Amino acid sequence: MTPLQNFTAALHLAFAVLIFGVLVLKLFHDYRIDALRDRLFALREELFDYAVEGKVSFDDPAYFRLRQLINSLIRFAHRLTVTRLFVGEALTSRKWREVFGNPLLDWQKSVESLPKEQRQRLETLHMRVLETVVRHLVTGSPLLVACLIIFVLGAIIKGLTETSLELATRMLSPQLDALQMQAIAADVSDRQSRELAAAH
Amino acid sequence: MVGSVLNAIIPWAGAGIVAFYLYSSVATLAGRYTFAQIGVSFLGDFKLSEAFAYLFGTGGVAYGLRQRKLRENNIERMAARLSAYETVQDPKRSSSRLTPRGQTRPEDGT
Repeated sequence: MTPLQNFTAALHLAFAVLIFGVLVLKLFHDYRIDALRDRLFALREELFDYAVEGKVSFDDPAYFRLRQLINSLIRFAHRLTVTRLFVGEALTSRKWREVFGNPLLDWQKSVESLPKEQRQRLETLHMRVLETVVRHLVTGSPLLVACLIIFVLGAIIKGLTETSLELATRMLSPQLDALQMQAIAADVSDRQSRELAAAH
Repeated sequence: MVGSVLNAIIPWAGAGIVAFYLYSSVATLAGRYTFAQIGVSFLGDFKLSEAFAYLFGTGGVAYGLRQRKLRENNIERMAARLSAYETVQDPKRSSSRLTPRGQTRPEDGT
């Protein structure tokens, strides 16, 4: 290949990388934020419907604080990134707590004052909100996706190993019984011979 | 603040590296070929299958953008009604403070 052909090939590659970058870093990035907001809106509607059913009052702090939390996450969904999770949290959380107090603790206190059924429902909803955010964070980071795959494969291998061991234990049950009996007999025999030796 | 800076740095650093290598390769050709020759070689090197791939990709992006516009139009039309209904039930209703089309407010930054 001539230098010009080499350069043209490199230019094609750079062009393809550029448009792929626009697709991933702009278009797909925007889509992911919209998708996260959509899921959070669905959870907020579920909370609203629960209040419409009369299960919890609109004026209850547990209701409006959870709604406010979901609203904040919807509003600042574009700022929910892994970088912020690890870097921003470490640098800013203490300062923020000094200024804003701890709204999550306030919410937890107000939830604890609710009857058991309502409390469980709101806590479950809150957990689903957090799961939605975690899903967004994990799927947005190639590093975390790789970690997740390794974790899932590890869990599958661990599960398979445990299942295989259980199965093998059941299958070898008669032989294992004999083995246990042999060990017990050997131990008892040894103790008896030691006791006899001590008596003499 | 730190998070915003890092989020901005990572893609721009990638783009800078690509630009640097592109510049380096152009520098080696300096004085040997004109931009016109490079341009003709670039366009002439396109194969029909590649052209279709680019067309397919561009079409997909255009389709996605049109769908997004349609969805935002729908949000703009429906959100006000939903808000009015919810305010009747809950007069102190709090809002997500997105724009009427469901986008991030410019003042909320990146």
